[in-house]
Amino acid sequence: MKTELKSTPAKALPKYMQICGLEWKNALSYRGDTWLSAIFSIFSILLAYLLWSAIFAGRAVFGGMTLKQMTTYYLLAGIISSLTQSDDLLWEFSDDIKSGKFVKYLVRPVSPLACFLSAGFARSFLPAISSFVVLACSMAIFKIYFVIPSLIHVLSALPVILLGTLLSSLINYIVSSLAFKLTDISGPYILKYTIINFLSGALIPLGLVFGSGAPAWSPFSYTIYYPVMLCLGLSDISVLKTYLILLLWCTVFLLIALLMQKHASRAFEGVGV
Amino acid sequence: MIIIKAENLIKEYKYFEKPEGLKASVKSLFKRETKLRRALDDFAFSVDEGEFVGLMGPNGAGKTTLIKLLTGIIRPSSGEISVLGYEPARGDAAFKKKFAVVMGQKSQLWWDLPASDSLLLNKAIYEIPERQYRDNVAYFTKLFEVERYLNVPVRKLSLGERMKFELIASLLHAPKLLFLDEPTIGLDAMAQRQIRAMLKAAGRERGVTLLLTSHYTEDLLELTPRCVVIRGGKKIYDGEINTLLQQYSVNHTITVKFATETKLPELYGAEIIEQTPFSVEIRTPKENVRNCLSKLMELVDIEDIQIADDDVTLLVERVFKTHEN
Repeated sequence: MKTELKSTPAKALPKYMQICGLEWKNALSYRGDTWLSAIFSIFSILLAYLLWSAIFAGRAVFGGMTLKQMTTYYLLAGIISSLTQSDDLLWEFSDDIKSGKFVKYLVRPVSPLACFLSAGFARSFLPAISSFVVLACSMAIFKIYFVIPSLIHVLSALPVILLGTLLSSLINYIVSSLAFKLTDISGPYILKYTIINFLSGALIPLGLVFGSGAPAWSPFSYTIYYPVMLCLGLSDISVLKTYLILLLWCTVFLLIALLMQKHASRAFEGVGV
Repeated sequence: MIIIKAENLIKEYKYFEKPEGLKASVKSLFKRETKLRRALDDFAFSVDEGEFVGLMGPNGAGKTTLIKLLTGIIRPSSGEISVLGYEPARGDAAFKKKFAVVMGQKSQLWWDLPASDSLLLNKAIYEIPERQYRDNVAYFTKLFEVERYLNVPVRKLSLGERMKFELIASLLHAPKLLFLDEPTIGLDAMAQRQIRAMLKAAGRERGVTLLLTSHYTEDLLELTPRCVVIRGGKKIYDGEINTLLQQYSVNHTITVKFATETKLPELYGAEIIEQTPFSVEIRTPKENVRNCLSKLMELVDIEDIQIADDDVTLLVERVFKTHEN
């Protein structure tokens, strides 16, 4: 029997870049939806402002943050969550597994995981850009309600945001791959959604829930809470430590995803083909 | 040279049985009875380089399971498979670059984008050199007569045009082996004829080995001189399709369309399958075809006439009954 000649990453890169390009082109056909959801995200910022104004009730600081910082937290969390919380690919991939369309990854020289990550990366950035434009405009118009983050802080948070996006995509891949074993992945999905929503800091800043010891051990804190706190210059752990912990979590989840790619796909029976 | 070899191939699928009723559903939450269904049973065959082979059999016979095993989509329960010198289940990238598979029901084209984008993606996936890519796109789009649809979104194309692009996408990287699973399903007679002619030309000129499954006798008759008949996961015939038809095809189906409302003459020895004022479909033994045709040709307003062999399912049943006896 012949064995495989290993393809180098440099050789493999163009195919995944091409997938990114097609995903962008595809997403642009639905740009109306993207802009609408970005515009409607202003309402959640407005709601957060009204809610927190009532909670602050004239106090200058609450949970270590001013009202302006708190409103800015939700605005930045809105932009970052459009990068890290796009779940449509998760459902599409699990549907591919159930309906037999997953065959396209098995009969062509591509890695399902790399395809998933490329598509996820491409799909996240268009909503993130439109959210950024809409929310940055809101920030410029209503600047008395927000804190303008410093460029240094934003730049130091960028690698964390990118790694957080990778981490979220890996978690989504793992959840969707459960479709190889389970008929319905709604249960694991709801569990993931609840845990991430709560532990990522998308709903409420983690400092308010866990006090000064925000869960630095949890991978989910690095998808929204720490990137936002780094942008605001309020993070309680150093930038370097944030990078290292996040890199460690990304490696752990990458290994799990690779193991699932290797073993779980063996359960695929091509039903529906 | 043999490029596909399968020996003692067995594939079993696990499934659960659940009796009707709520009580049984609750019970099955705690205890389920696992059963096994054998989709391929001690199957063996080989294919030489350049051969065009047709797989015949009714639904659930094991044809698609065989293609899934040969392409590495699923693993055999036992037995050995060698395709182009590789073990398909290992999923080697080098192996995947040497074959292509088109499944009539599963598309590899991006629905909202022009077909040219999907072709470009295959260029990157199969690492096709620029020159070869340009030449192949030009050759196949001309052969399949779809040059003008290259930049039209796939969702705007007809089923026949989409299938042509599916075939082009699978042929771009010059595969040595092509698996086609029901490529003409759902297409009208005209599109089926076109695709058959184009596949014949592409196969002849590019030296591809072809393994085809189809429910249409015409597909197999025109494209695959050799056919393998499968029933219940077992091989029951492996040989020339013409011999199979001579031995087992006892009837012909004659379909006639009329330009005006026409009254049919008495046709002795023929069974009317379907009749409208403007068309008729009759089945008659082969030896009676000449008699029926001469009667039909007396009618003045014939618009179209088609004669076809028995369909695949009937043929397979006859082969099976002969073997059983």
